[in-house]
Amino acid sequence: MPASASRHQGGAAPEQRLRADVRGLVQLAVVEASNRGAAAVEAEHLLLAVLFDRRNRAASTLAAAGLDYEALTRALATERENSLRAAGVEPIPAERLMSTGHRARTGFGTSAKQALVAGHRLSTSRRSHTMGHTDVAAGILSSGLGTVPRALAYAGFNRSELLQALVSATQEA
Amino acid sequence: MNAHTPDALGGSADELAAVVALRELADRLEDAAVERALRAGWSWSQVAEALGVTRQAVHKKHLRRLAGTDIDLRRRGASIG
Repeated sequence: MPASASRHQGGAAPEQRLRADVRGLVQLAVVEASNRGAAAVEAEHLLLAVLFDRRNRAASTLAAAGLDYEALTRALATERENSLRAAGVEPIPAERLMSTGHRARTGFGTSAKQALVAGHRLSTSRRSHTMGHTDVAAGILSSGLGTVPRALAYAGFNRSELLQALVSATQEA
Repeated sequence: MNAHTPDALGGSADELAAVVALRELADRLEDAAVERALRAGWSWSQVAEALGVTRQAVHKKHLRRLAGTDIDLRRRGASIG
């Protein structure tokens, strides 16, 4: 019986309960978060990890719609700049944010946990015993609020269409 | 789940996203500022005092991150206690 993904809350890192290829994806997301100086792995880092390895079906499906690693990177930067401006804060020069070394532990944020829970739910709904990249990507895009949907909206992507393309891809698989 | 999901952009969504962005910015600013202060010769105690937190809190958050860098952290050992 598949472990309930909701048990990720506060426990060990989620990758310990994931199959091998998704475990690699989650580890890549940790690297993405760490490289960006983030305190926690969030849904956007999972999506960057999906897109980083272009060979998986989720990445090729999203790339066909124009969303690749570079496009998401730009979209996320735009989202942060616009969100800071909403609070009256102008972007801070990158050199003032430079720091050496990486945090010893990068925990998992709620948005990443919820994306994995949603991905798991999608995989079980099609009676698959394994959660793949496409399920994770669809899990991320199933959320309508937060950093990822905002970044996609600013960049002109239709989140529902991207989600539908991913769901279709899992059904073809 | 609510039947109606508000728009991801505009109004309250922008205000809440600003909080997220500011928290992230504050974290990154802290990493950079603590490192610059230590490079400028500040002690851990001084950094902690300036941040208004305990020395232990600054250590816990930054020591391992900076231990692998070229900053000579040992010279500040006397103040670590």
